[in-house]
Amino acid sequence: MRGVTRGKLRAYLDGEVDARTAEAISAHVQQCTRCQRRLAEVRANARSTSERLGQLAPAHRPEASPALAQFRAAAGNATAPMGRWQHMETKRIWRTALASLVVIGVVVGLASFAPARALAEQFLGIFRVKRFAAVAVPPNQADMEQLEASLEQALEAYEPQVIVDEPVVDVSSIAEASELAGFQVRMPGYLPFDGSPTIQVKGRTELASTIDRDALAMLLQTAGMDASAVPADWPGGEVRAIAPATVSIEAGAEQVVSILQVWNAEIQYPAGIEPSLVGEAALRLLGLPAAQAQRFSRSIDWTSTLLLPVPSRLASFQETVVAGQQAILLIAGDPARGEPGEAHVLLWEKDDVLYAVIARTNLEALTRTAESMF
Amino acid sequence: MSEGRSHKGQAPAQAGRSQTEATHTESVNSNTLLAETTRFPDQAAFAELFRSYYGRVYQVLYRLVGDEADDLAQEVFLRLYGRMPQLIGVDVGAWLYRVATRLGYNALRAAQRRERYRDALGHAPDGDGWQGTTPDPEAWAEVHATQQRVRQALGRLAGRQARLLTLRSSGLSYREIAAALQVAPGSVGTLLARAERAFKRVYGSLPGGAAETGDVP
Repeated sequence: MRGVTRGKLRAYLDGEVDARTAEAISAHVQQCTRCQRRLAEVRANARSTSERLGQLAPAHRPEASPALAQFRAAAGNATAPMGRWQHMETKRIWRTALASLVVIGVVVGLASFAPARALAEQFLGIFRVKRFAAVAVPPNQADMEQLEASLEQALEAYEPQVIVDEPVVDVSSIAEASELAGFQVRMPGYLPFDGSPTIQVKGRTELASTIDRDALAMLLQTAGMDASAVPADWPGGEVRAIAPATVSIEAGAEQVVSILQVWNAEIQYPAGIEPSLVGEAALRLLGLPAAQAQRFSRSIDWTSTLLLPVPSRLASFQETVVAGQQAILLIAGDPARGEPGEAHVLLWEKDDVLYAVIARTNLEALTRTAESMF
Repeated sequence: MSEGRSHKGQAPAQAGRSQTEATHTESVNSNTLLAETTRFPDQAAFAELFRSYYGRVYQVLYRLVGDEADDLAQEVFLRLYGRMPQLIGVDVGAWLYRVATRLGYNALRAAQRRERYRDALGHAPDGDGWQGTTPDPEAWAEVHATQQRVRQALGRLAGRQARLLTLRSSGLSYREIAAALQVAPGSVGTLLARAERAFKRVYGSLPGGAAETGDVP
């Protein structure tokens, strides 16, 4: 066994791994000082977190019966508790979408680094998402775990911070959504699931991650490249993802289709830099063979392409066309593992708006939903 | 009165909204609205679910919002009530925890935003006085300050991390957490370890939190 990831160690501490894995972990940790340290760290974090959150436990036992009586009294007065109660479940999608933008932004931001140019340039490069490119990441399980472990370490320092988080507002029509969001919101004429659509508009969202020299050098090193490409006096910088307005349309009940429309999404990064060099590092880090990583990174327009690394065991992808635009279809689940996976995602850009249609449905219905918006 | 409850006063807007939706949904399936408005939940089944899950849902919410947990728990079950006909075959526990942590986290963040505005305006925080649940005001103030700090740290984490930590602290298994947050069961350990590190970092960066963080062996 090679190094054990923090995640495995965490589950091991909670007795949430099977007996064989637990034995293997225990045997490995006994003879690996690095993992001993890691285990001690994971254990200390787990303990201090659990103690602190333990302080929040209620001092009294909640009682269901009086609460149920109160509920009945209130529900008796409420006429139709439908509709409104079906909203507001999109926060996860907002966050997932935007957070992944930042994580990808970090990779892309790293990709924008080059020592040749004057680093004194203070301006921010602006990366306006215009198209998507997907790249498959090798399916090998051991590699993936290794990658997960190194990415976990490497990207931890970049965990995005919320800078601006304007609220989500429920609206009752597309016209209202368009007015509030400041762009022409589109409603699909076709939806794969029954149920009244709910429309929400979220104001500006900004997430930022700070990158420093050490982390950048480590990323290069982990990718097997020359870390001296990062000058010793590189001051570091910030990657920022900005979505001025985002609209979500959701329809369905236990099966839900979500349509996200993000206007003028952009990623800012410390600029003045040759993109393809660290792009290559990022791709190598993601497990692409060196030659392939180089070829791929040189073929991409890094100033406008949002690169989506797709781990083959989680999803596959294919290129397609929506409304005459190049689009990427991420197909969830690895058939080899027989897992249903998460929702499929169809992504494209048109007239400065990024569109995503997300649903656990067949691909035909997904494409039909997308096409019916134009 | 919580924000969610004000819907009763918004009946005209709701009516307008339903019409818009009706126009659209009819093109999808003309039975949809009829089905939604005529099928009311089975009262006995609902009461059973309420009794089975209320305690756990309350536990989860209390960690995030304290005394507001009563109101929010009512809201969570009101949503369940409204959606019961559509939730046939769905893991109700997971659904409840998902909705509860989402509402709780949003409420926590909203409260913290209000707090910041008040600070900015130089107003004293409200609802922070000693409420007499413990006999000793000083001990209460200390516990209260720690709780505030823990909640503040939770509010600064990404939603999924805060929700994950809350669910784990409320005693849910990895399998239950995975179902509630819609992640792969195998990834809970990784997400948890990451969330705990993030929590430690954020907590340590809060005023008064740094003094307590010297506990790594």
